[in-house]
Amino acid sequence: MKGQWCFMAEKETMRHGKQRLDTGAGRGDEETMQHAKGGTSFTISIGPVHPALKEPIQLDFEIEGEKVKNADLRLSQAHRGIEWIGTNRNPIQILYLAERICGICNVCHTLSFCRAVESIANIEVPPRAQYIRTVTAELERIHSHMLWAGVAAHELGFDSVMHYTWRAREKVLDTIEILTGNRVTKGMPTIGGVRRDFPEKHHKRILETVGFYKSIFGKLQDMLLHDPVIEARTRGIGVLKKEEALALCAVGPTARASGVKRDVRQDEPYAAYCDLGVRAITPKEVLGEVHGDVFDRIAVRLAEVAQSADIIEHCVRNIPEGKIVFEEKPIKVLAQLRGAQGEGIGRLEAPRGEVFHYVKMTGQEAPYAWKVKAPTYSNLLSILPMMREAQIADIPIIAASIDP
Amino acid sequence: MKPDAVLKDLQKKLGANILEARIAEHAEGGKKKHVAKSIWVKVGKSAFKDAVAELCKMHPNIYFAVISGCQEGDIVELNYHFSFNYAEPGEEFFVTLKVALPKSGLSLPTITNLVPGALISERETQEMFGVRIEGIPDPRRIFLDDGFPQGVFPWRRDETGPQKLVKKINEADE
Amino acid sequence: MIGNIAALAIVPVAGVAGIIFGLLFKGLDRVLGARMQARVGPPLLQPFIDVKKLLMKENIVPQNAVAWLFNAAPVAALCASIALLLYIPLFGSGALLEGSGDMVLVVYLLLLPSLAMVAGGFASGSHYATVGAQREMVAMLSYEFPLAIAVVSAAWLLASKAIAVQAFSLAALSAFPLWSLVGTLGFVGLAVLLAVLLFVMPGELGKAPFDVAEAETEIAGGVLAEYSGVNLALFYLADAVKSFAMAAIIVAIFLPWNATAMLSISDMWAGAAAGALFFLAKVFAVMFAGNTFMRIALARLRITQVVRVYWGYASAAALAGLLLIAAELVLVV
Repeated sequence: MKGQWCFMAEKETMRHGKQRLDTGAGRGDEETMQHAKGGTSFTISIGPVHPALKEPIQLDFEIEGEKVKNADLRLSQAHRGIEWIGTNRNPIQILYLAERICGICNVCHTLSFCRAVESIANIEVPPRAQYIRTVTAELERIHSHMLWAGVAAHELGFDSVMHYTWRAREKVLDTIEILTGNRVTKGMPTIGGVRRDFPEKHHKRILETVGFYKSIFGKLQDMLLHDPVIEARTRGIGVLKKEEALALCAVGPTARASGVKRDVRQDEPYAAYCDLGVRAITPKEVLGEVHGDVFDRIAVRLAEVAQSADIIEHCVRNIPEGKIVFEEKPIKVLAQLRGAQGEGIGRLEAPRGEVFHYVKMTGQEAPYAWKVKAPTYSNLLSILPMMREAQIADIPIIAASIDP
Repeated sequence: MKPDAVLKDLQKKLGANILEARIAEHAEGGKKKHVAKSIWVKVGKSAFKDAVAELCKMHPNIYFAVISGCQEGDIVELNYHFSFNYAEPGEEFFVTLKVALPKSGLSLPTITNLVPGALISERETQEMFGVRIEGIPDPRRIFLDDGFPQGVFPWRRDETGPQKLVKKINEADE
Repeated sequence: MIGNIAALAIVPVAGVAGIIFGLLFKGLDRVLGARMQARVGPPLLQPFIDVKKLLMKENIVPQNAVAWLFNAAPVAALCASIALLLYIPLFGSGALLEGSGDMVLVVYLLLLPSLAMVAGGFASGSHYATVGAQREMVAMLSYEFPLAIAVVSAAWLLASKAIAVQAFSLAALSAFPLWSLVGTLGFVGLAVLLAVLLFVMPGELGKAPFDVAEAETEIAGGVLAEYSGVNLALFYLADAVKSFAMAAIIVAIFLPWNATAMLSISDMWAGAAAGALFFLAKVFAVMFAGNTFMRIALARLRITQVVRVYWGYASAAALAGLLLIAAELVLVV
């Protein structure tokens, strides 16, 4: 299975005179070489500034007619050095830094960092805080998946669906604002707990939000999964086989859509997920069969919106009483952390997949090492086999399908 | 496989090449607790590739997360994070292979032939720590721009670190 | 009717009227589209504001473009679109220029703005524009066949039923509305052909779901990727005029009734006003069905799917419509 995935060094250059990955792994190398030399093909760059990509990544495609012959990926457009900044800050300050790693999945990065630090310092988080963490993280998942559905529809040239999903997304944003004070950047998790409680009066609002998403779920399914044009545009497009997903270490909905039943919430439950028994959703559960294409990725994400709604409802109805943070005064938390030594891993399931934080503390105020792995980091390599045999028209939706 | 079985197996195969080994536990959860286990193994540089090969043998399609690391004095320490038993509810655990490289010999063989998904991380390690990955199929930079100065390694803490690139905006230009 | 020399003097008038109504319908299309997407949308006169803004902007010609062709293409597109208007009966009166085969001429004139876009795309020296131009050509080849079938069927029906007239003349079509010439079978056939024409309309105009040549999320505007300023404004105007003309052609072929005659208004001015209003209403209905509604209801297709839809489904439907009409002509006559 790993033989299918060959890395190829080519003498021909696309732009920088170095090596690149071959997407046409299934075909002979000779053929690819021929195209690179022949005069009929040319190179198109998608990104770093392109209407289809909202992030500064650059995809170079060798095109022949409408077919993609070869693809290459360049990421070096924006590196902010957040990890380096973090090694000059104390953990409470890093929370705010971690929150800004990713705008949409901000709770995930903060929570991941908190969990790494908690495991080093052996801090026990009160159960109520765990439930609140779970609810915030799941609200974020709904928000992220709704946003993604809109982006995907837009890439397909279907703006009507984009406007509908983004309008529906406003509901969860408003709820998040009521609960945390901000629409997107929530600032909820802190080391050893959370920073705000959900008072009784807000429970109704959360349940109402959950009810809203459950009520529109059928309509969303109709729009995205039962639309003949969307199906024609996404079925059989951007296929990532299960073996490839495993070999390339794909995570999150990208891996699940290829039939890999992995989900950190299920495999290594954290926070309130220990009480919930969450199960990974693959297209098999939703549609009955696994193709590993873009359509499957849409189906998995949609089903996860419903799953998140269920989780939130359960958590809100069963939230335990108690403290929301193990120590309220940050100064005391810092004092305790200053004594902590060791290294820890904090990981969790973000909307896009596994977030991984490695923290090493050596008894100083600032951590000695901090490594962040965002989900797209793991999924990026999967873009290349997905682009096999693609047409230009498929590039945006394939690139968007891993939710970069 | 359970964590202790994995560790025992690894110790049997690699013997004295395992310099340190421990199993860490951390319990977390709401009403019920889940005990997350992780194995931390320090191996010698020469046995590193064998250790990865052993892990791959024990768990087909092993999941590789990322390479983390730090530099302390004359040592660059790299951690390869692998996970076992994913896709099995409640059974997943991490295996971290630690390898310490002296600054005089900053090189390590590639593992992309065993785990193709490690490519991005290896490219990153190469540019961030200045560790040469031998046999890497694609040696280009990945997160740093081609215009970033050569010989500066952002994750190092010594004279090759990024400190001199920092512009302090509150200080006047000289 | 007016003599040809006099008609030439009216050309600028027709051009201005075409531009004004084209932009007005474009604004209406945007507002209605927005409302269907639960948005407020721009003001009705937004297209005028857009054109005004574009006319004030700098005209940038890329370094590796073929400058003369790059600059000539938008002018050619707008001229061809306005020329179309001269051959189509507008506002309830006859066309400015009439001839025996103007329907054939109109079908070819419809191609010209697209050809100008292709030329401009290839001349801009950008890969995006090249891909867009290739797509535009392929799309042109695909929708031309069903369009030709629909037009030829109409002419054939006319020639068989009303022998005395010039079959390929739009004036004759106005005088003998097709629907009154046929029985049930032919009626169904005509309805199918009308549907095919409405389906060809977004392809002809490069609108979703057939906006492959411009596909902004794929090839960043395609043929128009390198255009800016006045050149872009000219293409924008050409698009507005062509949309108006395309709808007017469908109205002329399939919905030629005249309000003045139907309501038997005797006063000349009142009759002209009623005719013009009725015409605009018909154009609006066609535009809404063939452009706005399709644009909102469907996602963009791939170019291969565009070819399959037009060569396959649309052509099959058009042929079926033709067969139904033929069946009636054979059976009933």
